[in-house]
Amino acid sequence: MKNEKPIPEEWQHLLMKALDEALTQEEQSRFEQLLESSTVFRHEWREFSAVHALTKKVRYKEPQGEIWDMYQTNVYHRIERGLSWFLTLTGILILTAYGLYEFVTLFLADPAIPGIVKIGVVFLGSGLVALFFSVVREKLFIRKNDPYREVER
Amino acid sequence: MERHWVEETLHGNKQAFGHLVKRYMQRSYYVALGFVHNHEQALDISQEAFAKAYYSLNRFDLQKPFFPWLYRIVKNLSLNEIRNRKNRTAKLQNLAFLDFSHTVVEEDRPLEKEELKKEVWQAIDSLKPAEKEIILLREFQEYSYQEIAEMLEIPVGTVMSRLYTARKALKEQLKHKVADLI
Repeated sequence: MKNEKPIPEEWQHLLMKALDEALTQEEQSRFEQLLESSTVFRHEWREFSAVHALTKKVRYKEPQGEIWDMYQTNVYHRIERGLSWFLTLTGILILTAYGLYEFVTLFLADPAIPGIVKIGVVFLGSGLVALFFSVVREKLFIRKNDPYREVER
Repeated sequence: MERHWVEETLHGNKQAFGHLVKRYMQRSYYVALGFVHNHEQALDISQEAFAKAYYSLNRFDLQKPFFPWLYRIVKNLSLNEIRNRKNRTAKLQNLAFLDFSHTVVEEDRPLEKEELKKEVWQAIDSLKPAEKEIILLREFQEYSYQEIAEMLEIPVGTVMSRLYTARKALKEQLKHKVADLI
């Protein structure tokens, strides 16, 4: 195959169009003329027809009808879920920002609270946040890279 | 009509988007199926593609047809899925997850049915991604050259040339079968 001389582009297009039944009348005449006059063209045509016949035998299976009944509803659910996530995350962001602001202005800036308590609370809070993200990241990593995900348990 | 549905959706009419979903759900599913070879994942990806399209609709060019745009979203999601799957399978010594259950074969000899199905799909799967894509679009989803040109954003002449190269590569992969037929 590698040593074969490539056929002209016009021939390639004619072969493809003939396979896909897309030839115009003019192209049909040219195609027939080439079939008669060129052994290379004839050979290519025979081989391509054989491949086409093979692939035509394999078809997609029609999924069950009920799938299409639920399809639209499922798309709406996904759209709603996208919006819900956006609202939830925005809410979390706003409340976290407000909480941090209050924490700094009311708690950390309060001279009545001993420094050791403030340090303890900062350490505890940071630790809990770090733990939370570490666990979430680990779970996501395992889910994404689980080699047995395709295996039915 | 299609343009009207898109405009209506942009004005907040969800039902108009439903018309688009109804019109293109099967095409979208088969495009994903061609890439991922798995019914459940194809269903999942095609539905996700509609949700993504809904949120990105303001970036859609109203002068162009809707499906080629949706096609590119389905394709990107499918390729992401394949990439993730490859990462997972690499850890199982490249165990192939090729699933042929979503296809049927018109073959009179029952014993050869499964073999033919497997050989044809393996041959298609061994093609370069661009060749595989064009074979799926033309041979299995039966899009016209013009439609393929719009989906892949290439001229019609390039569609035919690429199809020629792809079919030639497929012919090489299936040469013993082809020899039996000629």
